[in-house]
Amino acid sequence: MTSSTVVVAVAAAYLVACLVIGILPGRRSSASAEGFVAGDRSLGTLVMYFITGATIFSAFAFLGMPGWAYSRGVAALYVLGYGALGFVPFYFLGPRAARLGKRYGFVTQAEMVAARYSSRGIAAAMALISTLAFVPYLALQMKGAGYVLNAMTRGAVSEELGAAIVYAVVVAYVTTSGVLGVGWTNTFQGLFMMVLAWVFGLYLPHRLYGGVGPMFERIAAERPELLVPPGLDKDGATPWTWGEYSSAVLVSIAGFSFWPHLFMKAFSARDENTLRRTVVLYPTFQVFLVPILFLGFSGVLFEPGPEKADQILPHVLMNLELPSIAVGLFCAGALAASMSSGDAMAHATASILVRDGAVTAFGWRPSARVERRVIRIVLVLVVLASYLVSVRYQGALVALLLYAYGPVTQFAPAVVATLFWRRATGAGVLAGLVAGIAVNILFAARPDLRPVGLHAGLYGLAVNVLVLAAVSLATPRDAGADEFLTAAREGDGS
Amino acid sequence: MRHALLAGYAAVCLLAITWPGYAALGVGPRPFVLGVPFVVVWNLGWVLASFGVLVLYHRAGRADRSARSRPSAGGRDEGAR
Repeated sequence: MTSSTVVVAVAAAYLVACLVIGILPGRRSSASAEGFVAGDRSLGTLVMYFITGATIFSAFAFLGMPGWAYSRGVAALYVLGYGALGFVPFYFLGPRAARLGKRYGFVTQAEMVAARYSSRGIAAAMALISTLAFVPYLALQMKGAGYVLNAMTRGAVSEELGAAIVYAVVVAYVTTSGVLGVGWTNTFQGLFMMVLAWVFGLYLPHRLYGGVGPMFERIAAERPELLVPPGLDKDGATPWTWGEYSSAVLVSIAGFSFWPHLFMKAFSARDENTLRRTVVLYPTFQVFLVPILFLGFSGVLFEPGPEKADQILPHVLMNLELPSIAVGLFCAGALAASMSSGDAMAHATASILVRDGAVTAFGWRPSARVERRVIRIVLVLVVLASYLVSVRYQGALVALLLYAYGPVTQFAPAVVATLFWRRATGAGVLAGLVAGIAVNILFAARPDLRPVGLHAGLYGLAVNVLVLAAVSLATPRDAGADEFLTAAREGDGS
Repeated sequence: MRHALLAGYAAVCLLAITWPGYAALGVGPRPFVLGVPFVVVWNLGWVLASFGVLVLYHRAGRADRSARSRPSAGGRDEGAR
């Protein structure tokens, strides 16, 4: 019989370890906002690898993806698919952004875009869109943490209390150490997740079916529809359309490199080669999704099923009579997945709201210490807002993820034009952003209005590109474009 | 040349992991490869192929940059510190 006390003890020990690992690096960073937001541009390849990998493999990967494999079969493979190309644009964008960051002192994506056009409106729009994308994504992480602690303690800890405990730890180390705390805890959490995913991903199919092969044989015999591409729709019964599957892959590829918390790492890296190596190594992190897929499929024929598909993993583990320490370790691994994304998002949202919103858009000029203190206060407020969303939201984890990709994808034209297109103008970029996000919100809220069943973010992206190009060509050339792009290109050759 | 090859690979990969390439496979629950459905191997294969292509592209780029910087910086990679 699994003891809740042991499970909670293992999870608590893990949280303490994260707290210690997260707080210690804060002593090394400078007291400035640049130290807090960009880690004084000191991160090497190892930390960058785990910070990008663990940041992306969130509660969605540990709970939502198995939930999809369980309820929608090979539809979950879309995550593996977009990972093949999703980070490639960063190979070209990252070094250019890093050069500009060093030269002009940028620490956020919007700061860089707004500076090229001297546009406060762009900074404000990007800060707003970032918040629209981050709050639901952060809420997803909290919901995942709450699910896990609730299931693993057999209801002794409510979902709300579980999420609150975990994110109190996150707030503690992020407010203390900034991005350095995020980096070192992500390295620890990334390694921890990888080991646990492989151990449980091979163990569960073996325990339930006698191995991975026999598991898929039984699924092919009893639920063959789960293994037919592109998988099942959200009702878990009818086939998903190729249009929706392909657009989920496309919007994820288009948005992946432009997540502000990920893009900001271009300003944290020690040098350009560190960024390039991180992109090259990134697909190896995707391999870690394979055992997670096995975990989800292992629950397909498990009776009785869970109340919600996202709870399949904790549900199976709690009903297998595993040793308490093993269940506690899984619980810690799932918390790692939630925390390793949530910490970077909370840190990025607060940094963006202060640097892009208050400083760049509204012209506030605080001292470095005051700015750092305000970022910490905003971080707590962002976590509280996300917590309220997570408590109220009752849908599937993956729906929150796919929603968040729509707004983020709208950054792609603005960032690419800023780094590569001389003729782009501030008016064009701002008009593109506003038009893109408006179309995205319209089709996300009213899917019945879409001409064909593609992701709302793709419609927004198409309109965004057209408006950016048309308005840029119709407005006067930007005087500072040459100097900015020359600085971005220096030593290029990728 | 290496830029064109990378762009070509990205286009082929994109078509292979979405419609129409992925759909054209026309596979069902079977066949299996090493006990795993072929569709899983197909998607994983593209992830691994991307890793291999990026390694080659990166190495070629490093050689290019090294050759360009040789007259002024004695062959030192500009990105390496």
